[in-house]
Amino acid sequence: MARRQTTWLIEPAGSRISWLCLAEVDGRTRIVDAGELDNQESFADSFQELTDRAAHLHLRPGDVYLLAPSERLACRTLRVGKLVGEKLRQAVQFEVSELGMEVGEALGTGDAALCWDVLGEGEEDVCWLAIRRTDVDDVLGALPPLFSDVTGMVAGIEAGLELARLAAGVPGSMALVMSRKGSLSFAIRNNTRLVATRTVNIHAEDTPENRIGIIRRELQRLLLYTEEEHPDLDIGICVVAGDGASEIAANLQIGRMEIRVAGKAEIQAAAGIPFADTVETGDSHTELLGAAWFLQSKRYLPELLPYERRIPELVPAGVVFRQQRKWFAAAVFFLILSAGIAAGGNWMWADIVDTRVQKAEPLLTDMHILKVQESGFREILRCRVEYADFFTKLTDQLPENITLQDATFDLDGRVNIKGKAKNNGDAERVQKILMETGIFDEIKPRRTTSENNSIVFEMEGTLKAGRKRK
Amino acid sequence: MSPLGRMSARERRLLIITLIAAVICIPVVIGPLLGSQEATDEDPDAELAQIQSVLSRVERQLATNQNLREKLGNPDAEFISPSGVLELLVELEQVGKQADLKISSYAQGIREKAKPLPELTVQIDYTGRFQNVVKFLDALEKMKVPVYVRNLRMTLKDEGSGELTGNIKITSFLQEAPQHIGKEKATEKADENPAEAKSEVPA
Repeated sequence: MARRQTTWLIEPAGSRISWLCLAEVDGRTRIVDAGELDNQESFADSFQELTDRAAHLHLRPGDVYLLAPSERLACRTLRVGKLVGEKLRQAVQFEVSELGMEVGEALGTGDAALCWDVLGEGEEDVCWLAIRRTDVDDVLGALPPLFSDVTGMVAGIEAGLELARLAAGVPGSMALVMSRKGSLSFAIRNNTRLVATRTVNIHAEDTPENRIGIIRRELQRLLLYTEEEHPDLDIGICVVAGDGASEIAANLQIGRMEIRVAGKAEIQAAAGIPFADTVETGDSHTELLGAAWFLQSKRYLPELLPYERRIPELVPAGVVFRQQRKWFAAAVFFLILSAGIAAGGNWMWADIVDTRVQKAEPLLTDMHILKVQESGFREILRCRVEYADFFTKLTDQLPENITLQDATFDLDGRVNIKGKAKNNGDAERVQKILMETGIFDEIKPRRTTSENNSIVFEMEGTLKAGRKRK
Repeated sequence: MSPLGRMSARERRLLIITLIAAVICIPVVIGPLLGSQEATDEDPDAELAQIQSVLSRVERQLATNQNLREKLGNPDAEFISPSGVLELLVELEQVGKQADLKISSYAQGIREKAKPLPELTVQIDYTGRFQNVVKFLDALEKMKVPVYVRNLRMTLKDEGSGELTGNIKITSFLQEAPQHIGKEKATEKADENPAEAKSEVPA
């Protein structure tokens, strides 16, 4: 039988491990193996048994995802004011390092290194999940060779919370109680995602009544913490999932909170991943099924592997999406900006041209008027005889014994000048002076008559301006 | 794995929707803009160049006309409109008074078909001394309404007193002022000196 390429999701918890194995069957991803082992002796022994089982079933691990042990996870809410990328990383790193110091002091080991990741990047409040580096190394160090090539160590609590919410039909915020054989996990969800989680260990000898008491106490503690961090958050529904969910739900009463059960069948149906024949999951597979569902639908699972062990090309889908969302946002921004500039430029250009055309149109009419006006001015200059200047010169130059009696200057006709002089010589001088004024084309004597020791002369001629006019 | 392969179905759907929206929106937004531009103005650059050419021609023409006004003796010289004949008579009356010339009558006539503009001719019958006539003729050349003397007749009435009698026929042209430029000039003047602008209105 040929070995099949598979994806393994394994949840280690103490000496116990639970797993799901997914593979392509008939062109569709199915759950081809699932189970739970508790060797009681050691975690490594449980893994060895899983290795034998995989070999027996001819299942070769392809991608291996480990679910970080819930009881080792720390979860905090941090108000970061919509930080993203490196700035968000730095802000969270500061908070995480404080926790690392606290943990180190408590353990007396100096600062404890933590592996962490964030949910809600870009939001006002983010939720970060962290696990001690030594806890991660312990798990990774105990893996048998078949499973040692780990693709990711993810926190499955949010995936489990989402799956339980879907299974119980809760539309928005809720609390989750997830019961396992050795532990109880609690989680709070706002309208969009996980905001707080806590896991406590329980002992096999605890009675059901004790368990209810622990659940009530721990859930109320978590609700109190959430209320402080998110005063606006109103949790009205609590969903119980996992081992003995129905029994817990029947006995649990927390104020007026509505208690719902997310049973195994509903959880399996909500995950939407078909099972191969003969494979069944237990009540404690909620987180594993949730993680498988998230992986299938490429939703983001918080990554808790140390950075040096992460595989860049297999960064969870949510991270990729965040990067691409930035790219999309930038592309859309530039598209809108380009369209805006093009549209604005066009409108401005059209407006400028329109304004100028409107201003220029009357100028074209005025241009014609100005042209005609120029012709009028030129015509006046051409026809104008500067008579004042002419008469001033004439007065200065005419001898005193000469009197002008009558003069007519007709631009359209002739010039007639009649005057009295002593003799013809004076008349001749008058003619000469007139010609020297420069306004006449010609001046010639027409008649001279004697009158009481003097002569009366008449001259005629034409004006230069009159000739120009013609 | 390619970036496309790593994308979820939701992301791929978003990408496809974005691309479709872009393909639809770009022609829808930019198309009408280009279309409207084509409809109203095939070559805005050429049209603007044409407008600029007109503007510079107008500027040159204004400068030419101003130069001619200076030559005519009055930088504010302006032809009167056909409805403003009385303006000329008022100005002539004032000029006559300033020259101390007795004007006994005015007779005006308009020749509509004259070239280059409709022609207004006013005949003035006068009596006065020679110096007054010369003064009057000098003032005519500096009037705001540009005129030329078409016919001048002067007869010595009384040799003893030196008084002359005669008539002067002057001609000017009638033209409506350019509407656009005329208004701007009038506005500028009013802004500079409102009182002066008012005093220009004939009483």
